[in-house]
Amino acid sequence: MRRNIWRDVLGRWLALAFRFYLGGVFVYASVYKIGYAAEFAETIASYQLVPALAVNAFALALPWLELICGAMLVAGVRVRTVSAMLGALLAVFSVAVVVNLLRDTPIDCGCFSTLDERMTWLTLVRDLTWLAMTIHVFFFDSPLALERRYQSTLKEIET
Amino acid sequence: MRRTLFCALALALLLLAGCRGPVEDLVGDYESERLDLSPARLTLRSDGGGSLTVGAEEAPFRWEVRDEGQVVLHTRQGGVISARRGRGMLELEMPGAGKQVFRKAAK
Amino acid sequence: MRTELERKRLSLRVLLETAQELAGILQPRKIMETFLLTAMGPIGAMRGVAVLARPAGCEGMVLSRGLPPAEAEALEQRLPDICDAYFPYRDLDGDFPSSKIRVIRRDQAGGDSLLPRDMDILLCFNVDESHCGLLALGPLLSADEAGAGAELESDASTLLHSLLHLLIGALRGALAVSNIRQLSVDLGRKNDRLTEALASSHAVQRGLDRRVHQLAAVNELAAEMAHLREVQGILDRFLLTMLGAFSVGSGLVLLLDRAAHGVDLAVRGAPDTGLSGYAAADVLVYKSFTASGGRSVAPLTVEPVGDPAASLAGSGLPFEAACAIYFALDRDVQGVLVLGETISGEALEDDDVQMLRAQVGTLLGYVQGARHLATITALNENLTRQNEELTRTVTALTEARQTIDLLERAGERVRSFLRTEGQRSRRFSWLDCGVILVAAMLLGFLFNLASPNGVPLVPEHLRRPPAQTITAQKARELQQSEGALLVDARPQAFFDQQRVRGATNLTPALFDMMYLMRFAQVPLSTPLIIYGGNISRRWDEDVAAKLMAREHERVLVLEEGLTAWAARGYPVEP
Repeated sequence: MRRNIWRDVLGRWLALAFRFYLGGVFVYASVYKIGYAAEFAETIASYQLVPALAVNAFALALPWLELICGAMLVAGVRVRTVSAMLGALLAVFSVAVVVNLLRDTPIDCGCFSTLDERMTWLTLVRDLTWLAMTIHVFFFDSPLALERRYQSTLKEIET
Repeated sequence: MRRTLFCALALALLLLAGCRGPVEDLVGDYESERLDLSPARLTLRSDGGGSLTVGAEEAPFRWEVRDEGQVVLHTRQGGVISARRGRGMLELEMPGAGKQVFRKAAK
Repeated sequence: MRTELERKRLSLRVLLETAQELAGILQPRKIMETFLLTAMGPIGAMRGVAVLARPAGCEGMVLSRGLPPAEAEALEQRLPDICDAYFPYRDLDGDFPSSKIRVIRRDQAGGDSLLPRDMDILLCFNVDESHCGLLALGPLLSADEAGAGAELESDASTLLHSLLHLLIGALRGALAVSNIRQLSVDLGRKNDRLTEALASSHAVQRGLDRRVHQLAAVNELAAEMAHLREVQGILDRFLLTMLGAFSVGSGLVLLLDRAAHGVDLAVRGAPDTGLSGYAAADVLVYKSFTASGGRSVAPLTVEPVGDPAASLAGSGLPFEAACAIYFALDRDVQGVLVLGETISGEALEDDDVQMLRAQVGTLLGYVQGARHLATITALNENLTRQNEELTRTVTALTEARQTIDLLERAGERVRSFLRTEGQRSRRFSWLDCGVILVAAMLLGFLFNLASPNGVPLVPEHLRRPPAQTITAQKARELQQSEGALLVDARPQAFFDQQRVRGATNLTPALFDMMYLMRFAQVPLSTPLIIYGGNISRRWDEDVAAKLMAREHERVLVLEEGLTAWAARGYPVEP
């Protein structure tokens, strides 16, 4: 019984907390980037990883992807897919951070806004932490999902 | 229920982002003090817009106030200039040119 | 001798006269009277009695002559006793010796007291098989002379016998005549009776013929009506047959249905005078009911209407009613059969009326059958309709069930869809990834199109000719010889990290502001060497373009940028 409660807390409810946290983070992160796309494009350019042709497109689509995924994660729609996508994004970010840290590029993270703090190894740790959270969310079924409402309604109909 | 919650949250975030807007006492004209540079006048308007005027030319920008009295100027091309607000003045962090103090012009 | 002859002649004369006397007489009584009269004289008797009797019946006649009337009357009264006494063999059936004459002596006779006294001669004789006779004569004149009880002379006896034979012959003839006459009379009577019987048999024959005719008609009617299904048709047919069977010129049958408020009427030989109307028909039926013997409307009542001409008068009959029969099928259905005069003008006999009554009973049976048939047909139709409705209902139900099936299937599909969706929400899906990516890109581009702070999708430097380039070595030379200005186009952080010594930071993003503040006084002829670019952005190109747009005469882009400059060992800071 106790074990079950703990498993619940560490599984389902922690996953729920991660969902809300990560969703909030990504939605918050996307808002500034959507408003100042040009600045985000400059940030991407600073990373020196994306080819010139794709930089602006990247700068346009990425914030919206973050917004959509964050919103879906909070709402609990397609949680697995979304968490997988966010995990992939975070992995890419982490790789970019690692590359630029190794290059010793003097840039901001650009994660939330243009005049962020300078990118350090802590940034990588933070990204990796978030990545772990997405993995947790991916593997644990969390309550309060919008889509589960259909499920419960369906059960109600069937009974 | 949750959707409304989410909508409210998103709206709140957007408002939070948008509300770091103009602060009334910052609005106004500023004169540059540096002598090694061209004399310039900085104008902050209450609608979030602003311009830097040198001679007959002016460069537009948008501005916002971040926490800790930090003012950020955004150009349309994606440039950002950070400024610190002091008493009746703005201290711009000119990239590659150090600080540039603008004093608020008397009305 | 002469006397003998005289006597003989006298005797013969007597016999002749007697025979002549008796010849024309046919009645036995008269014969007996005449004989007695003629015989007494020659025999010489003063009194005489003659009896002719039928011993079998103890009847006969007694004639007397010379007796006082009282004695004669008493003698007549004693006839049966005389018969008993003198015709003892009467019991012997049919065995009378013909013309046997017995001479009975007085002392021999048993019934002495029956006859008057002093009857000297007593003779019994048979006339024929059934008649006997007795002749008593006395007292003889000659006996007075010869002494009482003297024997009759032989001549006289012969005469007497001869006379008797004559009498017997005359009597036989008379009896035969009277017998014949009697036979003739009987024959005539019988003939009359036969004629009567023949007449009555003719009448019976006629009646039988009529009955046969009627029965044949009825039989035919039965055969025909068995095929009729409608009351009207049955009535028509019935009336026609009845008119034919009873030889009636006009008639009508009326059937009143109080429940259905309907009238069935058949009229023949007369115009329809509105009896098919319910009210008139009701009046007629009611009148016939009251005039009939029946006092209650029992089912299948058939009653003849008494005195139809009077009782049904004024009820709108188109002809004079000669015979009417009221009938009731049940409480609601009643009717009347009215027949007019027969064609021959005779009134219908009681038998005919009974026959008619029986036929009406039959008619009732058929009408009831027809009505039942109608009811059954109606019920059948009802059933058919209900059957159709049932079929329709079943069809509707089947359709409804199909619809329900369809809905259930749809529901099942929706449910399975939802279940799949629910499971998908827990599964990773590449499709969802693609959808989300596409949605993000679309939203981004659309938002960018609408936004005032939009960015171009394609980098600007690709759309214009590249600026003139210069190698690091030449640049160094230019810097030293002509005082060329080195411009670092990279963002400030890069500039702060490492830059060509003496270079100025001018990024494309802040170009307008920085140019105004720092480059406005730079002469347009001063060579400007720009560097700073990477895989993602050609800042140097962008800045060069902007500077050229501001009419700087010599704008050069440093090949390989800071890397080449530093690689050559030219001064960098910090």
